[in-house]
Amino acid sequence: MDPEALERRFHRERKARKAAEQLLEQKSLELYNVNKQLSSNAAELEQRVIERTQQLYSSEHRKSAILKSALDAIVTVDINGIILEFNPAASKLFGYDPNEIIGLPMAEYLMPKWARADHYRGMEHYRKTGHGEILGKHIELTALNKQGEEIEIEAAITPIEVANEVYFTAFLRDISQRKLSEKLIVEAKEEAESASKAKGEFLAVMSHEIRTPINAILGSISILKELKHSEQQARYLIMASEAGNSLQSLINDILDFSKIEAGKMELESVEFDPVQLIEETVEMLSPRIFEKGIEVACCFDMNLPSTIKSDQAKIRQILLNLLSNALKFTNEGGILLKIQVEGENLKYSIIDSGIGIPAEKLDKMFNQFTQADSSTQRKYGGTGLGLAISSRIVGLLGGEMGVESEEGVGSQFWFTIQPDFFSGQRPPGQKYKADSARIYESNLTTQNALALQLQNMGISVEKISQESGELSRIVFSDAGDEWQYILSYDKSIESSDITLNKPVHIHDLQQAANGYLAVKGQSCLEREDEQLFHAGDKRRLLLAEDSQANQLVATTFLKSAGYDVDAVSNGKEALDAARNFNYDLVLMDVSMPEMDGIEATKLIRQLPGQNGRVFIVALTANVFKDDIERCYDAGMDGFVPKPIDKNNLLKSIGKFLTKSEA
Amino acid sequence: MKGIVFTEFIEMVEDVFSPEIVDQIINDTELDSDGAYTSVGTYDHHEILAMVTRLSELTSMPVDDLVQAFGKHLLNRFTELYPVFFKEVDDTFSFLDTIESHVHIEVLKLYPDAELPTFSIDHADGKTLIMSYKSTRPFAMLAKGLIKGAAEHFSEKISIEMVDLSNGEGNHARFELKKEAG
Repeated sequence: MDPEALERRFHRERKARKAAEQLLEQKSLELYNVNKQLSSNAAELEQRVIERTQQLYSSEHRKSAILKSALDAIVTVDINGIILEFNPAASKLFGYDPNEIIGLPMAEYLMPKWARADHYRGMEHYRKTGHGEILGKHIELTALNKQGEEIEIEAAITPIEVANEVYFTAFLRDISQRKLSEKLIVEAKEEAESASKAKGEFLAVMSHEIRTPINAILGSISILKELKHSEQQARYLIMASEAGNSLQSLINDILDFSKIEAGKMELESVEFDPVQLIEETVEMLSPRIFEKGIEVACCFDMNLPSTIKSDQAKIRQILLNLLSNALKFTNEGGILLKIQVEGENLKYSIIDSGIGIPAEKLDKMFNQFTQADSSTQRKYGGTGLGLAISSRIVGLLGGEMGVESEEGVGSQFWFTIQPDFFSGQRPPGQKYKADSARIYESNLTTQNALALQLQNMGISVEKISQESGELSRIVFSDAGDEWQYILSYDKSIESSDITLNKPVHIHDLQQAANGYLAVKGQSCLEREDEQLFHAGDKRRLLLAEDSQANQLVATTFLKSAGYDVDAVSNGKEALDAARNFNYDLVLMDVSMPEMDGIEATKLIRQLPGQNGRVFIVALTANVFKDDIERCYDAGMDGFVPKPIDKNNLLKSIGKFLTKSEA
Repeated sequence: MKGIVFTEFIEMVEDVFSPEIVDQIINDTELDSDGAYTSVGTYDHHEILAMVTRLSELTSMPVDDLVQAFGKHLLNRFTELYPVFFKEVDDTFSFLDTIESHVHIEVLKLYPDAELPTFSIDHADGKTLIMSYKSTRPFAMLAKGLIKGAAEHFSEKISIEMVDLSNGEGNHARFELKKEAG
């Protein structure tokens, strides 16, 4: 090559080298910048890693603190049931140190053998379906501690999914103590219930057992009274009789109460006149009313139906109880009895002017064995059962009972009943002969009640105050014509004018307002009874009764009514007697030695001819429905409850003897 | 166009002809770079076209033949400079298949601004391969030389038929390659 070409080549090479160097420098700079950027990125990444690590650490720290301080045992397992976490509370509950239990299969260590199969089925089900019946709920189960003892625990198990792995966290709580307490409570409740039932049964049995001897005592006393005796003996007889009666009413109360408590109180539904019931009830107490020197007056709505259907005997019992109480606690003034119609209910009110009841005691009045205070018990007697029984009976009759009272002013007890139906509306706006009346009366209760009643009847009234001791009377007038009645408790009072007996019956008052009186003296009921008592002349009865005392009582009652009586002491003797003689009626005690009344009745019914068809009436202290049905099933015709009540006995047998005549 | 094409061209002309011819071509041709090439630089492709044209005049050899010969030389040099691209393949068809899927991808990593032609394979079985060349530059002949060089490298006898699809411009062509028996 010539030197010029070589030089040109040299220049080209140098230029190329410089270009390459420049490129290299440029690339270096680029590399440097990229490197710098990389470093900065790396630093940033490193910072983020540090922050994230700190966050994780703090979150892990928090979780660990929660696990450590949690009151509940917390156990985490993986999908295969291997324990991953076990907090201090879990150590306390199960007795394992976390180091010795973590990594082991939970079911093999913390569950009793009998529960494991179920557990594995549940885990398998979850693996297949992703569902678990017990997950997310509070459940109670039995676990196993390190000592191998079964413990009752409450558990809440939650599945947690982290990065496609499923874990189960269980919160567990020892409920052994709670379970034990629950068991003890149930046991205590059962014990209490059985004790209460035993108490009720004991009361019922004792009452039955006591009633039989009391009956003998009272019967004996009433026989003794009819014999000749000195004045001193008479006083003792009265005392014995009163004590016996009060004992009997106490036993009746207890029996009633235990029947109600046992749910065995049965209700009857009969038709009756509510006014008549009140008047009869007052009449029953009139000797005591007269004795106390206070007055009892009745007042009725004129739209009160003439017939209602309900349990007459129970309502009478309530009225007697409330009236007796009012009498007991009223020493002056009077007692007003009112019946009002309130929709479908009847409301009875008994308003007295007695000592009253302190406000703070009012709401306890219907509890059993409660009186206003303990001094009341000492002063007035009584068990405190009467109001409790009455209020419960009212409840059974579909009504309510209540009381309002003011100390020193008086009390008003009221109750409502819901009769099965009303009928026979009293004729409204009946016109009476009298158009006005003047009431001369010293007792405000009586005066007000009569005034109200007469106004209800459409008669205008003038009330004229009397001094105590002056003669009480009503003067009716009609267009100048006047007639009057003396108001008196004393039935023997004689006067040229006609007397109205207190408490004045509404029927008598209506008659009086028309100027005449149909009934005076004994009630119709008593006269009917007398007729029945004497229907037994020349009848021959068989009495089968093992108790000598009861035999004597019953025989005496029957003989006093004119019956001939053969008495035997057991069912076997009764059967023999019935075979040998065709009696008009057999009175059969149910429980007797050798052969009881049921068996004897069945055998008598197999006798040939008239002897097998004799009337048989049970004498029994067992007056529950089942017992009575047993009597009828055996072939008896009726029953008379013990203790034997003379009137009841004579009425019951009279019914059959009248039938046999017909 | 990447500087390696220019430096290899200069070296090839020096080897095959003489340094004087190289000096004359550069002297006779108006070049922005003044013929000072470095393999890492980037230069206008018109410069190589101008130089080939001048070489053809000086040597009385057709431009196409010169360019094709340069292609063969360039492929040979690539096997020396970048043996990694030839390690994984053992025949021409397989190598041609990796140009788009491998070689060009690696080139672009180093030279993100490189303007590369596309070689798309339209059909290939064991014996025949049909491919298209497309470029912004008219170097279909260079491509043919490169293919020939590859066949030589793998010691295969392959007939190459080229159809220009750009009215003789040389920037779009179809190659049909057939392996010959033996």
